[in-house]
This record gives sequence, C-alpha cells and structure tokens, in this order.
Amino acid sequence: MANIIEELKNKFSGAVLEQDAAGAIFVPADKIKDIFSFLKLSYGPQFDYLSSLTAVDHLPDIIEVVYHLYSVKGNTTVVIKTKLNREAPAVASITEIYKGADWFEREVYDLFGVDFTGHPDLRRILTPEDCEGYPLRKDYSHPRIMIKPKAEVKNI
Amino acid sequence: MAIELQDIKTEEFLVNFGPQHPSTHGVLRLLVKLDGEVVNDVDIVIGYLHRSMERIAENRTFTQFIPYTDRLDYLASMSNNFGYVLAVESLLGIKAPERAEYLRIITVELNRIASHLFAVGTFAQDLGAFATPLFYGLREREWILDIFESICGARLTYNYMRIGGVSQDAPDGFADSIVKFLNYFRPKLDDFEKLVTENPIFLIRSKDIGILPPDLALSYSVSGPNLRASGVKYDVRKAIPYSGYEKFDFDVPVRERGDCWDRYKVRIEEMRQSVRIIEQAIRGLPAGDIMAKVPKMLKSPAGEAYHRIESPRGELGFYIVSKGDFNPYRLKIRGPSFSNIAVLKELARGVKIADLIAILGSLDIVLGEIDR
Repeated sequence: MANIIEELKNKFSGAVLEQDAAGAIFVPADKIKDIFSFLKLSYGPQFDYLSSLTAVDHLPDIIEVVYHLYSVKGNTTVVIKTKLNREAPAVASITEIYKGADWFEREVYDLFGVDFTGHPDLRRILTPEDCEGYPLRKDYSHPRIMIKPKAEVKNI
Repeated sequence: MAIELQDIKTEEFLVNFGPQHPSTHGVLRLLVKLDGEVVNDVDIVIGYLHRSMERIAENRTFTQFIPYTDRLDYLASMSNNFGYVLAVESLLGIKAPERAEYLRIITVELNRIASHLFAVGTFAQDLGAFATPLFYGLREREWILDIFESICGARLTYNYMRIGGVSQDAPDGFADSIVKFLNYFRPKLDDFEKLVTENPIFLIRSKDIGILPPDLALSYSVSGPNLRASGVKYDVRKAIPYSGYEKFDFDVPVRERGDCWDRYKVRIEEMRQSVRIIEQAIRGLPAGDIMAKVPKMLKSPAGEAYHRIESPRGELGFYIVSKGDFNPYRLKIRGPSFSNIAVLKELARGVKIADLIAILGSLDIVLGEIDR
C-alpha cells in the first residue's frame, strides 16, 4: 500500500494527496477520473474490480465519497476517498472506467444527493420517484421517523 | 391475396414484468422493449423491497443489528450474519475462539448448499421443468433446515452469530446428524444431476445463452458463481481467507464459457466442495468456548473497517464507520446481487424473451440484498 501513494504522487505531482491512519488515500475531487484510469490501466497490478462505492455524511460540512478497489491478479485492495462540500456535492462519474459504478453512483445520488457529472442516467434507484430529500443524510427528517432519545448507558 | 412478411408493419412493444411475477425471483420490475419476440432493451427497476436498513443501523447498537442482517439475503442468512460480525470484529479487534470459527464455517457451508439447491431448482423451474427438480432440491434442503432448527431454533432467519462467537453450542448428536446428512446428500446430488444436467431440453435452453465475457463481468463488479463461470478465479475464501478457511482443503470450480449452463454447473460443483469442507470441519471440531470475552455493551473505537466474505451469491461486503460510539456512524452493505443484476441490461440485448428469463434465473439474485 505504501508504494501506491508514492506512485500516485509521482504521476500526479500537482495534486494534494494524503493518507490517513487506516491507509485510505484522499484525492482531490477533480482528479478522480484521471487517478482511476491510471489505477485501472497503467498501474502495475491493475485494479480491475470496483468492490464498493459509497458515501459518508460528516457533519457539519463534508460528504466523503469512498471507493474500494480490488485487483484480482495482484490480490491487493486500495481505498480512495474524496471530500465534497455538503452544500453542492459533485464529482466526476467513473462509469466509463468501471461499468459497475453506474448503479453504485445512482444509489449515492439517491441517498446523499451527490451529483455525478457525466453519468449516463442519474436518477433515483432505491427510493420512489417522488421521494423528496436525501434519506441517508444526517439532517434528513420525516414526520414518520421516530427516534427514541438515547438513554443513559451505564458501564456494565 | 397472400400477405408477404415484409408487408406486415411492426413496432416496438413495451412489456412490464412485475413487480409481482413468478419468474422474477422477488419484487423486481423489468420494462422490456420487444420487437416481436426479440428483446431490444430492458430497464431494471428495483427498490420495491427497500427497507432502509443502512439508516436503521445508525440507530441500533452493533448487537441489535444482527437480526436485521438475516433479512438481507434471506436464503443465506448465515452468510449475512457472518459477514456483519466479522466486519464488527475487525473494527473492534476481537477474535472468536476456534470452536466458534468451526461452527461458523459448518453452518455457513450448509447454508451455501441450501441456497444453491434453491437456486438450481428454481432455475430449472424457470426453464419449464416445472416442479420435479425444484422439489428434489427442496427435499434435501429440508434436512438442512432441520439441522439449523436443532442448533439455533430457526429455519430461515437464524440470528445465530454474535460478535465474538456464536450464540448456541452444537446440541448432542450434532456431528452424527451432519455425517448422516452428508452421506445421504452425496448420491442425491448425483441423482439430481442425472435428471437435469445432460437433459436435451435443458441443454438447448441454457447452453450458449447469456454468455458473459470475463472483462465485462469484472467491469460490472459481478462476483460469485457468475464470475467464476466466466473464467475468473476469484473466490474471497481463497483470495483473502477469513475465520479459518485456510485450514480446509477445497477447490474452487471455474468454467470457461460463461453461459447459463456454466453458471448452473459451477453451483452444482460448489455444493460438492462445500460437502468436503463440512466433512473436514466436523471431524476436526475442537472443544472450547463458543464466545470470546466481550463486554455486554460494545463500544467501538473511532475508525472504519471493510470486510468481505464469499456468500453463495458472491462478494458480500460490510463497510462500517464508527465515531467511537455504541452505534455505527455509517453502515454500507455491499450486496452481491446488486452488481450481478446490473449486467442483465447488457446480456439481454438481442435475445428472445424466453432466454431473458433463463438469464435472470441463472444469475441467482435475491431482492433482499439488492434493495436492503
């Protein structure tokens, strides 16, 4: 994993890349398509399998999109993350690179409201067509959701 | 005067399959654009079983969410339990004791056999062998469900595994009942194959239908028997072994053509390999605890974990993000059928509508884990 970020830093010298404690690589949102093309086609053990594409809502102002890539030949995994502004989250779609990203991105759009620019058919996939709002955001509320207040938990 | 074929005007016709339909394997809706009997395009509409499990997980403790995972892929509940508790255990740094690992593997592989029996039975049913192969498969599956009832009390949604181990120990006579089942099952599987595998009608309906090329399968994130039937040898149990699978000796069946018959044959062979694993596990079942020492209220450190297992349908992944609380902050469930069914749009172009049903049956999807 250490050499992945070194190679990425060499190839994309203009971009700011950091690695967090768990080994996930943060990339800027505008470099997503280039980095994924590189990882799938040019990097040594080619990352040809998109294992998962999801998003995490960090209050108050960041939505993180998390990509898990796996290389079947090289048997390695890499986690790529990108931070988006919660007001208008938008990132390039990687559907041309991984066709499986099509439905994953539709799900993230449906539940978080992230706009994937260049997606062939971005519409809701799990919720009904007339659903308003983005249900998995932390500030989503609906009159029928009743959440019990957290009781005091004693250490057992 | 005679009407020539070229004088007949045709136009594209939109047929709506489902969401309630006996051949769609759940509440799945297909909008099929037909030109005569040939499919031009299919639009797949899901979400009729969306129960927002990922949102519910944010309001439950880690242990409280385990029964919800049963309802994801309801034909393989043990695998769902397994994937979830392994993800939480890797987040919390807990390791289950060895006896629990063996019991987990025995139950998960039995569940794999039960799930594949259902899958090949309903596949044969979709092709027109209306009841006989399905009921042969279900008869064997009943025995497995009785074994599960003896160990955890339930037949379909088990809630058997816990974070740190399993909830119930094997009852008296468990090993004998499993050995008896395996000795009964092996010749029955051969009987099932004699009935279905080389049947001429089955061959015409499934050979060379729905060929999935390996690079298209990888691009669509297809996994499980569908991917292995196309020639890609990727099985999470062998690639990233977990929970003791590296101790057992088993093969991963891979086939070359990637048509419906190959996907069916891979499932049959996987059942034989599961029998091998269960035999080795039940012979070597160690004595000991079934639960590690874990606190009653599990609080996780801040962090995240992504753990994948091989469920009967493919790669099942659980991605948990925690901010140091009793509940997960975000839980993402990567269900294999979600990616497996997306490839139907590519496979369906240009086939006859009867073949569309055959391809859908051979992909073996469960709507519970597509919609969550």
